[in-house]
Amino acid sequence: MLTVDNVTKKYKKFKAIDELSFRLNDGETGVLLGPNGAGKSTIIKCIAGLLQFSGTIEINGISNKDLDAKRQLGYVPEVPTLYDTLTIDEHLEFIRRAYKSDNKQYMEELIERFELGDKRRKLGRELSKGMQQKVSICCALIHDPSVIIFDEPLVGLDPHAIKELKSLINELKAQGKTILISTHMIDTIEETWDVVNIMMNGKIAVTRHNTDVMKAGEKSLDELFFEITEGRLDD
Amino acid sequence: MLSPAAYKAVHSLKRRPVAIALGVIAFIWGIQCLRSMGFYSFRFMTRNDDLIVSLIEIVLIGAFDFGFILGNRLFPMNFSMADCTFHFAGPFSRFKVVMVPFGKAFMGMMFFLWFVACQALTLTFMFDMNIGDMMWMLGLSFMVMLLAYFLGVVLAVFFSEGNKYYATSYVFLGYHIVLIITLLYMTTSHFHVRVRDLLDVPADKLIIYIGHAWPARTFPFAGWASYIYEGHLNGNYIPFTAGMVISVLVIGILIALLMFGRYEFYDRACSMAQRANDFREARKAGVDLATTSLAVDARVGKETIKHGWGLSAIFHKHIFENIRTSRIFFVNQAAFLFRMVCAGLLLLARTSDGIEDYPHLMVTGAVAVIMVFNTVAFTGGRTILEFNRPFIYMIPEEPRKKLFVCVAAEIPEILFDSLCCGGILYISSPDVVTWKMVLSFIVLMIAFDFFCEMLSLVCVRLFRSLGRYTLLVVKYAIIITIVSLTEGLSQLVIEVLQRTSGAMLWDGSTALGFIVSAVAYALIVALLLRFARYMLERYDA
Repeated sequence: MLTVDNVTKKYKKFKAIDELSFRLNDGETGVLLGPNGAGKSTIIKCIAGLLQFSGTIEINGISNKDLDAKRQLGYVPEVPTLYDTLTIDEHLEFIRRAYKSDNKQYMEELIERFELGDKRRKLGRELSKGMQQKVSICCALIHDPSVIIFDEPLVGLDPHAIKELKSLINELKAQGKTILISTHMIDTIEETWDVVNIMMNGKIAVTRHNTDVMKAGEKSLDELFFEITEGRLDD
Repeated sequence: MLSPAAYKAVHSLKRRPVAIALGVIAFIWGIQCLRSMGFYSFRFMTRNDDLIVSLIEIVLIGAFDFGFILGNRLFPMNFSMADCTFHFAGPFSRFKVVMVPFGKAFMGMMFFLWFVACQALTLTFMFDMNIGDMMWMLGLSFMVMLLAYFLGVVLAVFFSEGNKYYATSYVFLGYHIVLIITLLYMTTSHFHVRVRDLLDVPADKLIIYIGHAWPARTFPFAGWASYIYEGHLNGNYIPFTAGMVISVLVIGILIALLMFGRYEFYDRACSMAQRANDFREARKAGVDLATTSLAVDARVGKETIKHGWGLSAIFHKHIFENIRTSRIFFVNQAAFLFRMVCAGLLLLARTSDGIEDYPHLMVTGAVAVIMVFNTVAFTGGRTILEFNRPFIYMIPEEPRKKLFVCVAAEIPEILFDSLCCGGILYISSPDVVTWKMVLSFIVLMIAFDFFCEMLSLVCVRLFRSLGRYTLLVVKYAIIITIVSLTEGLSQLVIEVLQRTSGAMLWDGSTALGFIVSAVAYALIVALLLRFARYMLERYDA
């Protein structure tokens, strides 16, 4: 479970996030949508504990600054930043050791799943952007976290990796994991989302639940997004 | 109509008026240096054609090396990410793509020629060189640089795959090592002296011998090019014509290879452009080359990550990265090179005339040089780089402990560095440096290295929003201030002690000064550690 309560992030006088609140339950997939500069990456970095903020963020009821919360959190950054001098294998081994995860089998599964097998001995800097993204995803999942946040996870991935990631997200969801995805690629999350938060100027402009939309036969995510961001919706 | 490359170059230049102004000033200065060759009649020695030919030969070898490095090592780095996108994919022949970085290489060659031209007056006074010799030397240097550049480019593009690419560099390096050893052996045998006494041989004899020795004369391009000038001096136009024909032929073959050969180097150009980009980004973030992994090559060997669990995984990863990049155990390659250069400089300084009368000055100089090198080597370490990536923040451990293991991972390297520094201090002036001084200096360097590391981490975290240059200025201003204050403090302590307990011997007071400074740095490090910990907990990543 992920709870964001009244979170504000300021850069000098500018409020990148303005008293933002939302909640995702176990097994729910939440999506953050919004134009550039809406504050999606900022709130994700706040959840990941990379930025200081005022307000409360909890991972399974524990403050995200707590080490227990960190153990239960996986984070895929917007721009993969791997170590130049470590290979794919070594990245995963390092993260597995740092998180004290014994599950080597899962590491192998992830490598196979994302077709990294033939590149295992390539250095971080020798990989393409898409490959780096794949490694970044594997690093975030290797310790089997219960809350996983993805910041633009599909950028640079090949169709096979996109398909694998989508099916992995569904599997994680079925296992009861909480997933938060920030993306611009609305069509790619149509099948997976449970809750969508459309952000504008550091605030949530609209929250919609998939079940409500299905029942009421509301507009598609695409239409909703453009109405909000182009100021056509008086919500 | 301008070609796309020329259009890009012209428009880029238009936005760099300061660079243009500096270029014009440098050009005028270079011309002025050349003109001044005829103004003075004073000479240290009378003209000797053999000496001039040898001098030119040596400069040409330098020109070859410079051109080759421009072509082989720097050529792939001179592509930008945009070049990779627009030129490789654009409607350009491969030769035109290969020529994209030539502008930057050309500027490099001009810099070399300018540097040589600026030595004109010295060459006149020292060796009675005239303007004609100088023009030939510059012209031949340019020709040799062009040949070496294209040779380097041909090797870089035809052997662009990982190991093959490095193999060309190793051949180049190996050839130079063999050349130097052979020349050393030949010279010492010829003059019947030991290597350490070589500097006692008159410089003109030494230069003439080296320049005319067969290893130098058979040096690719440079050796052959000097025949052209020799032919011109002696009125023998056979070597002159042969040299010219060979040079033109070789350059033609190299260009033909680039135009019609089968090669593929997109991957290397992209990876180098990416690396250069990372480098720029790291510099913006306050990580300034020196000992970071960006500055060195890493290649995968048989080493594996098999130690570390939880926090200690971070410690072992740091050590592992050093092993991978340097292959000299835990020692960072760049820092090791710094030590070698430092030792070389001090050894060179020891050969200066009259310096033996001022051994204490040598010690002071050695301490200053070592400290200056260390401020560069230890202000861009792995800890700083580590805290610029998200992994460290995500690992579920206490920030203070994470900081501690990162700093702890630097200990083996800092210990090694301090031992090296102690050794360097000793070799700077073995007559006056005692074991007491060496030991206290080692202690001082341990504290000083930690101080540089921690101060840099705090500065990067605190001032990175100021931008790279301001950050650098602030960082070094703080370092200089603290070093001056510490120096003042140790002087004060020594003076007080001398007044109360009587005069001390020079080595005792120096050792005491080192220890007082070390204590001061250790206290500052403790404060900085506390501050860094606070910042890691309270500030944005």
